Amino acid sequence: MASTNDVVKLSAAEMAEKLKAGEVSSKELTQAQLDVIEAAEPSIQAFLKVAGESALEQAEASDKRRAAGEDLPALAGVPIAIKDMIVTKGIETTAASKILEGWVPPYDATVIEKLKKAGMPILGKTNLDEFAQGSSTEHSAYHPTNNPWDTTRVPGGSGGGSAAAVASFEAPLALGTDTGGSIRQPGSLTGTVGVKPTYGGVSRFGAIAMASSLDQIGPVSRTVLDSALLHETIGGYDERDSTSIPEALPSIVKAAREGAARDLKGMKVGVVKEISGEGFQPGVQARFNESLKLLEDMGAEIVDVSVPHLPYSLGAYYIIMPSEVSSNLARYDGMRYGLRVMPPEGVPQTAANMMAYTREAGFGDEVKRRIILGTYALSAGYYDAWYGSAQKVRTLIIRDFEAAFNKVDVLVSPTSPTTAFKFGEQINDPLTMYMNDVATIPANLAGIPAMSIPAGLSDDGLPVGFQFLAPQKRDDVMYKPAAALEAALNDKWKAPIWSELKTPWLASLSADSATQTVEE
Amino acid sequence: MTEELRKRLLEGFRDHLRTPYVMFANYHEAMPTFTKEQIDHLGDLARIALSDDETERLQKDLNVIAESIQKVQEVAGEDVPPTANPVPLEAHLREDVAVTPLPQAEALAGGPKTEAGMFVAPQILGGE
Repeated sequence: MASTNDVVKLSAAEMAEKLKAGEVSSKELTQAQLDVIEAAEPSIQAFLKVAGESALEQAEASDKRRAAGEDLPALAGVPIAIKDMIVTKGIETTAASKILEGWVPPYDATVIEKLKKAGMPILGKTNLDEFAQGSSTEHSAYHPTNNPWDTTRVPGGSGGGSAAAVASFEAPLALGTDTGGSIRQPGSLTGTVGVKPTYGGVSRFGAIAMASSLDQIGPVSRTVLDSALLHETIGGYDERDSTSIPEALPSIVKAAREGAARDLKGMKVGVVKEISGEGFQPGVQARFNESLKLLEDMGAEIVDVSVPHLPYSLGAYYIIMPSEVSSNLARYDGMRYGLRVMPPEGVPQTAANMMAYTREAGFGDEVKRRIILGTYALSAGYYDAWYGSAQKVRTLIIRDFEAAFNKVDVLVSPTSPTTAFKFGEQINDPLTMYMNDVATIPANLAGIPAMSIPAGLSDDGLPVGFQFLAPQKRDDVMYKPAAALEAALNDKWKAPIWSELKTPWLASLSADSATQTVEE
Repeated sequence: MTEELRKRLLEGFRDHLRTPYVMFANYHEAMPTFTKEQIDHLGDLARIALSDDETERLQKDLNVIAESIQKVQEVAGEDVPPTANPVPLEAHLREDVAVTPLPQAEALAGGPKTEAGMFVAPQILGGE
């Protein structure tokens, strides 16, 4: 087997090829990833829980299936990390909240069942903003996660753990959840690929509910093809999710492979007028413009497109999301799972008071703020003015996108207005914090698929993301230009973006494997 | 993030910020709509025993956010139907087929207090 350092830098697709060719076993791969996790965690802190033992068991089982000649799925044997917003049977799942500390789910989410069926070992659970509420992972009740590109900066959020784990080579793949950009914005800030599928395209059964009409599970990876492979592994109809689309997925992997040929003749790419221009950090805008030029060089026609109601997205989102949060988080009542805190002496020891003291102790500031706001927005007399109006804005945005997709095949924008910011910089500046998602929220409101891929480094040396958006149920349409742009950029740089990443946590490992080689 | 970059962000996306800008930039200028009593009431409804400190902070937040709502109402005309599910689906039910549910022991395993196959709740009815 090659050294740990070489093996963990492979893409998931390359790992799958080596597994198929018998050049590496799933157990060796999984052990290599666990070694990186052990070495990297002191500086990265991407994980809330590492499940080494069960991952190795799953890897062994996968190797046995292969040895028995079973016809295995594409990613069989490739290990994966899971955002701790998705329930995993037998592995503590907390949503990074104190209210669920110690909770071990008695069942698997549908996506976890699918990964297990596909023979993919589960490395552990990654960090996030509490209940996926935030854009920096600073709202985790346990610890922050550091950006592998600069450990004094945030990895984005809420899925900062999954993005940092994949960026730092702790895992080749991860799952995230995206309610307003929680997969794509961390992808942008860590130089990784992040995909939010069409709403209903991937089952949400077993995803801890945040805002049910916006939440979507999706892939995190280092390459577009890897996300496509994972997307096809986890996607498709599930009768246990009533919003699951009862149709087959489009051919996503095929689209990604087609894109690698770098021929975009006949494709119309629309630049969204309302999320372009002045507001972006100059280095972000520059990388975006260069990528546009590359798309044009490959034959795409670039046009400006307006989505006129898009500037109402943030407002509508900050009504709909907290409303649904307040409803969904009502289940944490100290009765059936998680924390229970009895009222202090002198306060009647009733169930109602127990709930109130449990929720006061168990939820963090941001979660409480959203619950209270949502409780107000949904209360009698205010419902129509708040939730009702926001739902109407949603209709207008969906219509705008439909009109835009009559003119172009895909829409594009920078993923995030800035590169990664420093810890503490925005935590008391909610306005700026919420602005992180200005370009990602519209896709959630409209239910359309969207993805972010690395577009290079800004002048500050930090990664920049390029976002593609496609029509509902046509996730394949965005994978083709995304794969084409990735190939063109890698060609221009002569290497993937991560070749610029300094990885001191891998240094000790290369020394170890060198020693081992000598001993052998 | 430099102050220059922050300004650029806020200015550059002025249109988007019509709502949230009002939501958060004018904390102190916002006309108070919510009283402390109302926030306490919302805390009761949401079953969160808020501290005085939290109530005060939330009062500020909600007052500013309340102002912003009018902007969303600007375009929410009577002729616009609301969207609940962005990908409209026919309501469909599962086949009526018996399946094995979660075993009782597993369903109870995460409970903070259980006894004889049941969750134990504090007193629910009646006063002191």
